[in-house]
Amino acid sequence: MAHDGFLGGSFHQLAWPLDAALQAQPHAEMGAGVGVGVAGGGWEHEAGERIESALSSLVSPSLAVAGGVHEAALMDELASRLGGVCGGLGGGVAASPPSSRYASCYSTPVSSPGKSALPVSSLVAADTMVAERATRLSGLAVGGPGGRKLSRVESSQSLLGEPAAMAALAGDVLLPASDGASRDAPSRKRKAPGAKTKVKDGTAATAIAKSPEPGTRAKRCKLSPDAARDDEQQNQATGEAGHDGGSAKGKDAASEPPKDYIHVRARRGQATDSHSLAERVRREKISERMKLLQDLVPGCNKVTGKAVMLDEIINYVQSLQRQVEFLSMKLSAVNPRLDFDVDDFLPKDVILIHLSIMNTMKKATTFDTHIKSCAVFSSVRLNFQQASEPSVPAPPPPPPPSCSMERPSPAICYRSSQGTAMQSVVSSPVPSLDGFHISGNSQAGSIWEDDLQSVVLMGLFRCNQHMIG
Amino acid sequence: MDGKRTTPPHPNPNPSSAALQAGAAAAAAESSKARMLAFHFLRALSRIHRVTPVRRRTRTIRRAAYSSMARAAGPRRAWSRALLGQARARRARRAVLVRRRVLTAAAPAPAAGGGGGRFIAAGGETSAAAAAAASRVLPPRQAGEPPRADALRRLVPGGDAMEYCSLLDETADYLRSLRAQVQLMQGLVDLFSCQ
Repeated sequence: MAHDGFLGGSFHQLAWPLDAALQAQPHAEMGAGVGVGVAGGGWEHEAGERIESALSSLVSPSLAVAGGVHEAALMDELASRLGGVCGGLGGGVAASPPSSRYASCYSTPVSSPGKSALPVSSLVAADTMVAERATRLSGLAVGGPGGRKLSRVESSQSLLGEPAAMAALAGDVLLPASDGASRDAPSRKRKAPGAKTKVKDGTAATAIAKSPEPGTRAKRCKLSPDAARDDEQQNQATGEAGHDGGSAKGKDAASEPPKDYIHVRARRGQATDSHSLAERVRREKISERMKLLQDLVPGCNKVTGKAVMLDEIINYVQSLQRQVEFLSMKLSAVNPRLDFDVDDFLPKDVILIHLSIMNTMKKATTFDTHIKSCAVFSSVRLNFQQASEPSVPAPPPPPPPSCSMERPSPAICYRSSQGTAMQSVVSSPVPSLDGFHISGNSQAGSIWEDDLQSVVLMGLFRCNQHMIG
Repeated sequence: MDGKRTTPPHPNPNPSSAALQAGAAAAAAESSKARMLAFHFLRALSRIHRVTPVRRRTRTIRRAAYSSMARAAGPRRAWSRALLGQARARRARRAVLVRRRVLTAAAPAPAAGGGGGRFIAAGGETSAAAAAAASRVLPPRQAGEPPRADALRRLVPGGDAMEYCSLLDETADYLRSLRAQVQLMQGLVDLFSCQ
């Protein structure tokens, strides 16, 4: 492989970490591999320990299998970039197929001392630390292939200087994975977010299957410093292609132009025909919609996996429909004296105001205060002399409203007030408001805001009277 | 609720109760869609209580709920179009039946003829419905669609003819509207049963 000559092939003699010890924890393996690889260049044992501890501190154990394998794949790429430093990864993660590839390349086990005892204890992803280290590492990575002139010593020392740089990259890749349900820009198909998407899918197998080639991961490594930033951006960006493209791909040569349609870039090793591309786009859209649904359906945040989500959604829709049925049954049985003529009112705030009033005021105290307020309103608007109810001590009518009434509205109000006997049963025919048709839209109602509020409230007041009496 | 949020109403000149203003503010905070929903449903409800006999009220109220939901959602949504189409078909079928009944009543035709007319009309409608149902058997056009999507298609109105991707979209909107409708109805029940 090309990177063989990077460090003079001395890494072939590196003793890979003990695979047996690391089989249990893929992350540990990877971390160990990285640490070993980094340290394998003849560095001090202490340096290696430091690296391992730093790595372990950065790698999250929660993403055991999925992240691990994926990280192994990513580390693959790092290996190619840093000339076998990551090769230890491949040797370390003996379980994963990609690493086996590396294992075949680096056949001789690393005989670095004491790497078996990997202190992969508590693995915490430190975002900022990882980010800055990823930046440094990406600088190294970028400089890696281009600057083959880097001597072995230089590279190893620089890598030594960045003990957790490798882990930073690993952690960085783990960052999106640990984000869990955070959603990246769905319509954007870039290599870095592509990696994140796959990690979010939660199946390492698919991730590995989708990105088997180191070439693509090479590009992802370059994007890694932006990846941390990308995360925050993508968490909010839904379809904002240009924004993401401009910011994330700032330093990437392959930056996609701002667009209003979906750019899909085929990953290396994947079929590039339109069908698979469209398929991938479709899958992205579907997962985006599933995320939306997850927010809608209560209690679905912990659920992962499309099948379970779908079941939850179906159950929720069914339960809501059953609730509608039940409530309609209750409404049919409820007091049928709901006789207020809604046809007279416009679909504006009025009804909702009324309802919200009724709902906000709790049942125990509702009616008196509400009728009081209704009485106030109606008396004010319509110059109701009989606003003071015997049952309800109405406050003195406030001064006439300052808002001007439209010309027809006094007629309407007056007419409606004419037909109203506050004490009478509402079943008396409400005067038909001839010149006043329900348009069914709220545009006409914009004129009538105040006035018809009063009308409605007055009408509902009648209804309430009726319901009380 | 999605979409338009109106500004809070202009300050009420009347020194009315705080409850009224709070109610106004709350109402204004809701979108116009909720207002439309309330308007349509309340209107239908009052009409139903006036007109419909008691035994058929539940069904009618339920249908009115869905219709008001669809009307509030607007014609932009596939599920609302499907719902309104169903309502229209139902009304047409009933109109045909009524017409036939009237005809048979006006012209003293044999009861079999009237019954036959009704059956014919019903048969026409059911055949149309059967055709619609048969079209549901159309194979899912997408490979990535899970088998459970079939149940979802049955639940969401108009879900038969949709692709899986748009089905999820419509489901989300349908869920939002359903939730608003349930809240409205629950509020009404509380309102009317508080005596």
